[in-house]
Amino acid sequence: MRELPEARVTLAPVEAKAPGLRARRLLAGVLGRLYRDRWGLFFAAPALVLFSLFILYPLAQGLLLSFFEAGLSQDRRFVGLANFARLMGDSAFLQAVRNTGALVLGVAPLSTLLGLAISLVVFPLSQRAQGFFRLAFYLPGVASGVVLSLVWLWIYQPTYGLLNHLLGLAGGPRIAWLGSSEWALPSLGLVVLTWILGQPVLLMLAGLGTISPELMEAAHLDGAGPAARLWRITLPLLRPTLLFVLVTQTIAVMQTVVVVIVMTRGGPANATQTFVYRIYETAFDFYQFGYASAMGTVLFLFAAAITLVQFRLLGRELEG
Amino acid sequence: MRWRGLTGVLLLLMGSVLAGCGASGKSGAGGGAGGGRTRIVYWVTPEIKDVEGLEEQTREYGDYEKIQAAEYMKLHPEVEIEVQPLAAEELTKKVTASIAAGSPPDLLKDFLGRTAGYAHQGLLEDFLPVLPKEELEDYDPFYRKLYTVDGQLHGLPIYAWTIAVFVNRAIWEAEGKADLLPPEGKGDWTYDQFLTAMRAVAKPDRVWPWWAQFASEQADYCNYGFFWGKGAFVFPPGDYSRTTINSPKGVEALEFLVRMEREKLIPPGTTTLANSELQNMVGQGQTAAWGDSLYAFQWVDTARKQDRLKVPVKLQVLQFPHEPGLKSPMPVGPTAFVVFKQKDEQKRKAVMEFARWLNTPERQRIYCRNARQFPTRKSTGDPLADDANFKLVKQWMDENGMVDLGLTAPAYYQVRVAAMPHLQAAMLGTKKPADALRDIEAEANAILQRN
Repeated sequence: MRELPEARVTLAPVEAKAPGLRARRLLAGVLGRLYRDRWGLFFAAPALVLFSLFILYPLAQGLLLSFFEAGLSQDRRFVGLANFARLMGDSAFLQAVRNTGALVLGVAPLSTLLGLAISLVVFPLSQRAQGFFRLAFYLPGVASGVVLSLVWLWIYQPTYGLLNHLLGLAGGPRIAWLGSSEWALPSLGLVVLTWILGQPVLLMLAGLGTISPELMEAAHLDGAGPAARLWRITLPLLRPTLLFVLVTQTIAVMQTVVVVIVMTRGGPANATQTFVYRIYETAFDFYQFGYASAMGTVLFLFAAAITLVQFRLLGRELEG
Repeated sequence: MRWRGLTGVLLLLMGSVLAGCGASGKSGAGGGAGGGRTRIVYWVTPEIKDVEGLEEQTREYGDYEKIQAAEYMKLHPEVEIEVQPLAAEELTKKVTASIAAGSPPDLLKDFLGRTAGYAHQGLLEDFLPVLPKEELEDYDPFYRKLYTVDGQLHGLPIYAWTIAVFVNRAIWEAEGKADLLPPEGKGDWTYDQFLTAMRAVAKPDRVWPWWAQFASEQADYCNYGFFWGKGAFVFPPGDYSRTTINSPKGVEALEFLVRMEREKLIPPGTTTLANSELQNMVGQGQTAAWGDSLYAFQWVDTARKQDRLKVPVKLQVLQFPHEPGLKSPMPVGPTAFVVFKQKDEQKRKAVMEFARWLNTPERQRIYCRNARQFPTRKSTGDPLADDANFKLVKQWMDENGMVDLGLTAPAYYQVRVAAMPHLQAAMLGTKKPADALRDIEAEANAILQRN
């Protein structure tokens, strides 16, 4: 036992004398590993290169730019945290944060629940019927956002639109769906919901397909009713899918912008101003690229924080 | 060996990706002049289509400019021109994004309210050194002055619009109320006369006579038109360091618009209605009057030919209302060819040469006739001399004078955008008109000070 300190004493000079050796070993290890994984790297390389060029590099540039005052010209002035401080007093930005929060809280859980409900109804159907519903719900997701928004514009149009026409037939009042502060955000939320609903349906149908029918049969034999099977078997086994859907839906709703550009331009009176639209407007209408980047950084932090919280809450048992 | 081959493939792949990016960047910037042909990227705002005599070939915006480019390339085989028409809704953001990315177009045809901002940032070429004296002096001094920023002529003015009130007289005639409108050939009326005429044709849930445009800054002149007749303006003449919109007369003007909304003289949802929706409403007889440029005649004609007018439409042009004893001044909005800064001297010459070729008096005549706008060169003459409405509006411009819109203020466009949410809030009733104007003043002055 007494020898241990001596051993340490003798080892330390050896380490200090051979840092080059250690570095060489490390390098050889890394190169060896790279060589071993060469085919994996080869196939991943195009995606990695594109991801680095078009995601990582702009992300780093955006983070950097948020500490500068930058306009249309290439001149930049370092302003430290001033852009972030200014955000706190920017009423339009705060309104955008509130609106985005309302959209996320209203649409993301609803699309997840609706996606679950629809997939539970569709799953027992024949493969053909399942295929039809998969396509039907996923179609808006792959259609052009602009085209969808234009269709919804016609539906919501206050004087000759479909919705008010139907309401009128039922004796209802004429509503300015997008032109009133009370209705504009919920109306926009509905458009976003129809747009993103396809992904949860598709993923949950796939998730349901991975649950062993034997488990269900055993539970049935043990006397478990449909509700108990849903609660005790389906939902726990769908938890990874639910987590993934909730995270991706939250991020998708946080990034709502196309419908805003086409349908309301953030109006009326900022009632549909969203986080990303505010960034877009700040950069391309007000030419404040540094300030817009600061907003983008805050959005990034928000999205990361929400994702972490969701992982913590829903992913706890997955880790175990 | 296999490892080396793999590395080679990877490098090749990365090289091709980078080369792709390089090529696209070069394209955005219009390419260089070295070696082959000089490539010019030319972006145009949507103002000219259905050109007289070329209706079949110019059905869409940008078609006419493509014909011109082909003609120029025939004359100058060493030049290659790529024409890109811009959509009205996204043109500002697209140009801004291209500037921010370092690849703006070489040549842009756009409105002074936007190009002056680019000039203030030092992004545009100066035309003064390349224009011969007689050519320079052929441009109306009024427009030359407007386009001079920091002693540089930042664009070649092409034409200019003015905004007036357009009414579908057929609606008043059908109601037997045409006498409430100023007689044809006369244009001025007071706020009370205007209100009486609008009330006369309003029908609950069917006709909202005044087509107000509060959805975006693009049509804000049609709202500010109600301010000018009371002597309230966004900027004091020649002083763009502050806004004067928040004045007792300004508040009165906004209250007037809000009152029309409360009386349902303005369509529901006016704060987000798009221009195309409002054009449909005109075609369906749901609305009867609006602010517009003389291009209104053109789009109404096109709608008629395409059978999109479901009710008779008989356009009459009028002035915005004014207070007794005051006149309603006319706004003027010129468009110009501007050239973004070029690094290559040969290419700079080529782009400026092309811009001058595009803006000869003969070509200006064609633009003016088809965009229904006023020429900027003396030798262009009077392209719409046969048009009684054109003459009438010109007469009002001379008699009533022109509004100083502040188009050359460095932050003109940003002030316009910033004002919209507050004007919308007033129309929705979530802000009192006085509060809305106070907030516009605070925000606009902050923007003006920053710039």
